[in-house]
Amino acid sequence: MNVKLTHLVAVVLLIAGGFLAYDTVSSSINPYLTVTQVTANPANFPGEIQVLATLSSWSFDDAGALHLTITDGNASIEVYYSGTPPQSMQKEQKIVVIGTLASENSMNATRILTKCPSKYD
Amino acid sequence: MMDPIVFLGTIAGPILSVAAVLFLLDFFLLYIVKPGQSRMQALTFVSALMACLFVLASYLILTAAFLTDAFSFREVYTYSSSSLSVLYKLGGPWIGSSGSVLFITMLLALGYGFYRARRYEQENPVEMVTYQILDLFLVFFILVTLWQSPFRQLAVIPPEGMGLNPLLQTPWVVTHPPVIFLGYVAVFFAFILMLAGMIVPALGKEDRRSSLRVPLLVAWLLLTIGIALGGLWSYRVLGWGGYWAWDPVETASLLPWLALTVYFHVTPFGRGVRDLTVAVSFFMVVFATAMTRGGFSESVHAFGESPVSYLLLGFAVTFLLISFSIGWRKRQESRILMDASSVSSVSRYVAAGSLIGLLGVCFIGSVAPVVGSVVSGVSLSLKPEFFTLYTYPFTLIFVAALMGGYGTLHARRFAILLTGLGGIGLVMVVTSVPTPYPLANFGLPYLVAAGGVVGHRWLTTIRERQSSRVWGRTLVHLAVVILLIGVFISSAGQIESRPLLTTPASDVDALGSTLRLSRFTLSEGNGSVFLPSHSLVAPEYSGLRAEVEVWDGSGMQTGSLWMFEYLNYGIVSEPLVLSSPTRDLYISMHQTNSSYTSLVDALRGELIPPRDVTVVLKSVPLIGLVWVGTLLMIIGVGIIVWGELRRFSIPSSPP
Repeated sequence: MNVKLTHLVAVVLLIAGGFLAYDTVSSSINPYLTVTQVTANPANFPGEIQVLATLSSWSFDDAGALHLTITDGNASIEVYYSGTPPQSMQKEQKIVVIGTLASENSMNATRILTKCPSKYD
Repeated sequence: MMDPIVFLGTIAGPILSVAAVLFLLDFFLLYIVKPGQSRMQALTFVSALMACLFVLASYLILTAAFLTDAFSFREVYTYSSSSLSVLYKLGGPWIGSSGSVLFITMLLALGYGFYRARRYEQENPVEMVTYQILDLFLVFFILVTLWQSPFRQLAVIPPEGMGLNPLLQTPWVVTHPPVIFLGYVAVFFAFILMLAGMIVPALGKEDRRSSLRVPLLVAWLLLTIGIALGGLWSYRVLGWGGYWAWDPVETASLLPWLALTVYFHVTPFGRGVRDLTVAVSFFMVVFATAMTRGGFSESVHAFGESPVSYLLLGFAVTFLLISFSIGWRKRQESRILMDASSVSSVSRYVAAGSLIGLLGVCFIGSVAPVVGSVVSGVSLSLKPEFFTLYTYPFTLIFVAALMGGYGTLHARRFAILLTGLGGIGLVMVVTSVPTPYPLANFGLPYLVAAGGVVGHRWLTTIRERQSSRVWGRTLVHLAVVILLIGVFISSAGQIESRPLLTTPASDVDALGSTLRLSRFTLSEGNGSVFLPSHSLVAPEYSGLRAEVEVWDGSGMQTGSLWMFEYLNYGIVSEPLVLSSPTRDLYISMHQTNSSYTSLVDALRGELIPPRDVTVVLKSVPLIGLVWVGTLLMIIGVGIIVWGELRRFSIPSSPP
């Protein structure tokens, strides 16, 4: 009887732990959005988002801030970024831009990620 | 006439295939060989040894292709160039995705060859099973290597290679990956020894179990060194988020290390749990390989997605289930012998539990985006804050357990101590001292107190000339506390300036320092690479150097900042790190429109100095504690390994 009770408690704890883990993880999960998804329904993304896109061009303004254009082939977003520029930035390269939307096709970035050099394929 | 290296490239794959066949032959011959059949035993030995040599030969062919600039090899063309340093050409095979699997296979084969040669004519049934499992492992890894085809040749031979990414042209690339891979192979050996011992349990059970300790300790040492080298590389090479960023690949590489750490802390739970932990460590190694080599999720370090990751996971799950099922059938009753009235006794269990919790958080955090992506069809990532937040309580519990384990207080006084430290922590949270980050401030009193308790015990172990195992273990725990203090303060207290536009000979003030770039020097195109977009051979890179003078309260320091334009990889900055006991000042130079144009022109041989650049300053307080803690941990683990090896080499005295 004791063994059965122990098993029951263990199963209940396991299920409770599973639910807790699921709830915790799902609130921290962040999808990689496409440019088309973002520009089609900008109102759906009021908070921080991350966009996986191709870098089509970039330049620096007089204050040294970075202006990027990212695209997925169908739509494009202008990105403003005043942080440390990433390494090995190249046109036609996949990058991840993390930040908030300023308008339907412009974004203020807080982080820009390019791949570490061991990413080749 | 075919170039010799091209010819060798065409036969390297078949050589590997023959090796796989020989391993399989060995596997089946070991089934039928009987004790005393010396000729059959010799045949299996030769078969396995030949197979190991064939694996080594295929690896050497790939290395030779790099050294001789055989650009017909896709790997050589992609990761090398004729002007690349010989050092990096030697590391070429393990830099690429397919070559690195061949490298792991070669290490495993070499280890197997040595192991088998040392044991020749001393075989017993457990050894036979060990060999058979090793045969199966090697066949699997050869198949994965062949799938990835590192010897693939291009239809048209390019005149030059694309060159190695500049961030990899550093000595770190010839140290960090091989050390990590050696650690992985040591875990494989430990798991195989354990599995063989489970399958044939009758013979030398105790010896078998104690012999596991050496490869596991060696693996732990190698993974500690490997992760430390990776952190140092990440810190020194700008743009990867400092020494640790909870990137999926970084986290995956931590999993085997954490699993091994759990192994060395679950002694009180009994043998069954320890065996289970070895199996989990093996699974974590293959999982980490799948994450890194297979590109399961978007990561700054991962390779592109490949079916190999699923193959690797299938392999790991299969062997994990085999070991679980054998372990379950032969399970012994585990008894928890905890003395609930002793803080020290309870602390041992709490420490083990908190490490299991840490492993669980890191594993769930690594798996969740992968599973979520497969289920939803959308690429997902987990916010790094998840790891920071959920590893925090387990870390503090572990620190409290260290205090309890090494201290001499009774339960009531220990509870008062923990409460008092919590009170001090709360005051530090409210006053935002010494960092602006509440979690760091709350944890620091516990860490400092744990440092005092463990440090005191460490001095006692030296004074009392206790065994190297105790001495090393206490040093490792002291090192962990020092490391954590460094992590808490350096990550919570670091501040970074925005990019500051600057011109030669003008002063810039930031973070309490004044900085002046005194001279810009451009260097024209160096090296040579193939530019695929234009189908031409051109210089690999141009460079811009700026001499820098930095004044802060303690005086002036000088150094050089570098920025390079690599034709195939874009702009790369080389930071200057000015270290002092209290902080690192991390300075990096970045492009503007003017400096980008100057660097591109310099590639063509036109040296026109730029008008301006931007610089970024980052102040990282007490980062030195991270490196000191890491070094002490390596020394501590090294002492334990040394003691263990000595124990094995000294024959026990006759009764």
